[in-house]
Parts: sequence; structure tokens; C-alpha cells
Amino acid sequence: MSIRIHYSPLSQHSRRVRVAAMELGLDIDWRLIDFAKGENRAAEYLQKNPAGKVPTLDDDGLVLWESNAIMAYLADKKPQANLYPTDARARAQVNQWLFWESAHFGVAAITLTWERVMKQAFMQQPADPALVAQGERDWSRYAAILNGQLEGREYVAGALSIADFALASIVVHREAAGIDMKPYRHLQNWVDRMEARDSFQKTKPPF
Amino acid sequence: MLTLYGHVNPLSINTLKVRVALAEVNAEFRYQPVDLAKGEQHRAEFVALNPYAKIPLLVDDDFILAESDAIMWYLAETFAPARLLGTTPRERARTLQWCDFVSTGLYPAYYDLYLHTVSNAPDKRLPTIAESATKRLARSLGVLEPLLGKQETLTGQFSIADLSAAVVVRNIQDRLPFDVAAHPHLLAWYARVTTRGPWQAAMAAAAH
Ligand SMILES: N[C@@H](CCC(=O)N[C@@H](CS)C(=O)NCC(=O)O)C(=O)O
Ligand SMILES: N[C@@H](CCC(=O)N[C@@H](CS)C(=O)NCC(=O)O)C(=O)O
Repeated sequence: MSIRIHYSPLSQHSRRVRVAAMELGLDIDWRLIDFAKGENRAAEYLQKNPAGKVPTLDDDGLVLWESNAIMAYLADKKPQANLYPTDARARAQVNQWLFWESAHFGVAAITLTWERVMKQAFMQQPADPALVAQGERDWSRYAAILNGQLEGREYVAGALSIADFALASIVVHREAAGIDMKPYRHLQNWVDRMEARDSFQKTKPPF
Repeated sequence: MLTLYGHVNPLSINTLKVRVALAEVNAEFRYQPVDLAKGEQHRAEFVALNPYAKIPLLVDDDFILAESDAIMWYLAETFAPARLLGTTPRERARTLQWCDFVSTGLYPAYYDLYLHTVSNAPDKRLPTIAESATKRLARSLGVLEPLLGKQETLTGQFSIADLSAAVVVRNIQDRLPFDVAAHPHLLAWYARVTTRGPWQAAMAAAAH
């Protein structure tokens, strides 16, 4: 039985998992979850993922959610691809960037994307100025750090890894969200490189 | 030799979980407090070690690692992988899932609520954030409660994910006007985690 993954084409967290699966050359049975129809809050789905979010993986009875954990699990199926290194220290560094993405960098990008793009598109609500200000402050702090890391490096942890997929997927709506890339040349160049990859090209969100 | 850079208060949430993990693997370490109130995390010597300018930070000879969950994972992997992470790829994936659940769900909900009801100056407390954080916190605890009614730990065997979650539950009880009494399974699990020897040892060490 092939691995099944529930996802939404609108979701950055789904996209990173689609990118990882494609880069790994894994055959996945993709199942669309329609937020508009409330499918992520349906009882059957909540039984798999009580958080009611996408993505969720089901591999022959192993039900797993949280996009970074799913990427790690998929990458461990193809250790030779080295997208999630097996050496303890190299893996720790990839973990460090994954956790930093989900706790800091990603939160800043999501705040600006949610306030300036999604909230209006899906809930017809205006952006909250206090949250935008917080998002801007956090973005400039964290973007500078990632930019520094990418100076003289092709990828965040040296070699291409699932951390690059996590970090690059979260800034997809940067233009509409007013996420300022101009001061961060190395960050911009790296995002361009990531988005030029086949896996990113084939998983562009519908808007 | 391991060095841990952490909070001047060793019971501070992200520092505490690493200190308990160090006790779990029974590793000796040197403790180096970083005074955030004095902005020491932004000092050039510290930023040279950790460009994130945050604590905790672990230094293992020439290897430097930030992010509390990544640090716990590394300690577990180095000293006691089977016991603290799980043995099969599936068990390890679940451990990572629950660490991620805490860092993206439970912890930010707690922290936003803490900032906007307790810690920020009253004129910097935003009711909209407090409200959304209350909902998110209830939702996260609502994920944990039924799970912990069915099993002893988050993944089915004790792991670092239990430590990640327990330090948050500790702070919720200590610091928030939020009643967790409606979550008896969560409280029973919390008691199991915090009566473990290493947790007790880390608390005792912090008192010195
Ligand atoms: N930390 C989670 C976040 C997942 C997430 O927030 N998914 C969004 C779409 S990007 C979702 O499903 N939202 C629906 C909801 O929260 O109800 C992960 O990395 O998988
Ligand atoms: N995601 C990080 C969070 C670390 C964190 O927020 N540390 C706080 C103290 S608990 C800090 O260093 N704050 C200082 C700052 O951000 O300037 C982790 O899990 O280690």
C-alpha cells in the first residue's frame, strides 16, 4: 500500500511535504482536504489528526501529522538522498533550523501573510495593525539571521536538506504580504534558487 | 565537556527542559547564565556562538547547537536514543510530531496568553490576541486530554516530547489565569512526568 497524505494546495505546510516527497522520488497517494467544505474539521479527519490541520500522513496505519515531522519521516525512507542526515551532529543542525523555522522565522512570515493576505481573502477582515507591527519587527530580526547564514552557503545547513524546504515554503506569499526581501540579498537569491527547483515549480499554490 | 547557556532563572521554560533532559541522560555540564534583562544575548561574544541571540544554547566541544528541542534531541541521540526517542522510525517520528505540536501549538498559545494577560505592561496587552490564545490553548489541551486518557505518555513510551509539553503545563499552572482542572488525564500525566527522578534532580539542582 502506498503512503497516503492528506493535503491542501493552499497550505504552505502541505507544500513543504509535497516538495520533500517529490525530491525523494516517493510515490504518494495524495488526498485533497477541502477547507471550504470543512473537511479538516470532519469527525473522520479529526480521528486521524485531532488538531484538524493539514498535512496528515497515513503509512499503513502510522498516522503522523506536523509537516516537519512528516518530512523527517519521509526522508528517513531514503537516507541515501541525505536530505535529513543520519550523523547525529549534522542531523541536529537540520533540526535546529527546522525548530527555528517553526518557532520564529515561520511565525513572522505567517503573521504577515495571514494579516495582510489570508484574513482578507478568507474572512473579509482587515489586518490588525498591532499584529502587523509585531510581524514586521520579528521579520526584520529573523530575516537578517537567515540572510547571514546563507552568506557563502548554497543551502541553510550546508547541503540541501528538509530545512530548506520548510524555510523556503513559508515565504511564498512574500509580495502580497509585504514581506521585505530587499535588504536580504543572500536570502533572496536562495529563495530564487529553491523556487526554481522542479519540486517547487510543480507545487505552486493556486494564487 | 558540555556547556549550557541558559536563563539566570534555571527554571525558565526553555532552559528547564534542557536541564531535565541533561539529568535524564545523566550528563555533567557547566552552566553559564545569560542575563536577558541586561541584553547579554545580544553581546558580540554570545552572538558569535549563537546568531539566533537566544537561549538555551549547548556547546559540546567544537559543536554548537541552539533551539531547545534540537538540543534535547541531540542529547537523547548521543546518550540514550532508545530510551528517550524510541527505536523504530515510527516511534521516532511520533516523538518529533509531539515536539512539533508543542512548539507550534501548545507553547505559542501559552506564551501569547502569558504576554497579553500577565507579562506585558497593561497598555501593551491586546485583547484580540489574549482571546485567540485562549482558544488555541483550549484546543491544544483538548488534543492532549483524550490522548493521555488512553496512554501513559504522548508517544506511548516516555520521550523528550513529554518534557517539552510538561514544562509548558508547569508554566500554565504557575503563571496563567487558566484553569486546567478540567483536564484530569493531563494532570495525572504531568504528575507522572514530574515525579521522575531526573525532573526532581533538575529542580533540586536549580534551587542551589
Ligand atoms: N504545525 C503544523 C501547522 C499546520 C497548519 O497550520 N496547517 C494549516 C494550513 S497551512 C491548516 O490546516 N489550517 C486549518 C486550521 O487550522 O483549521 C504543521 O507544520 O503541519
Ligand atoms: N525556540 C527557542 C526559544 C528560545 C527562546 O525564546 N528563548 C528566550 C528565553 S526563554 C530568549 O532567549 N529570549 C531572548 C530574545 O529573544 O531576545 C527554543 O526552543 O530554544
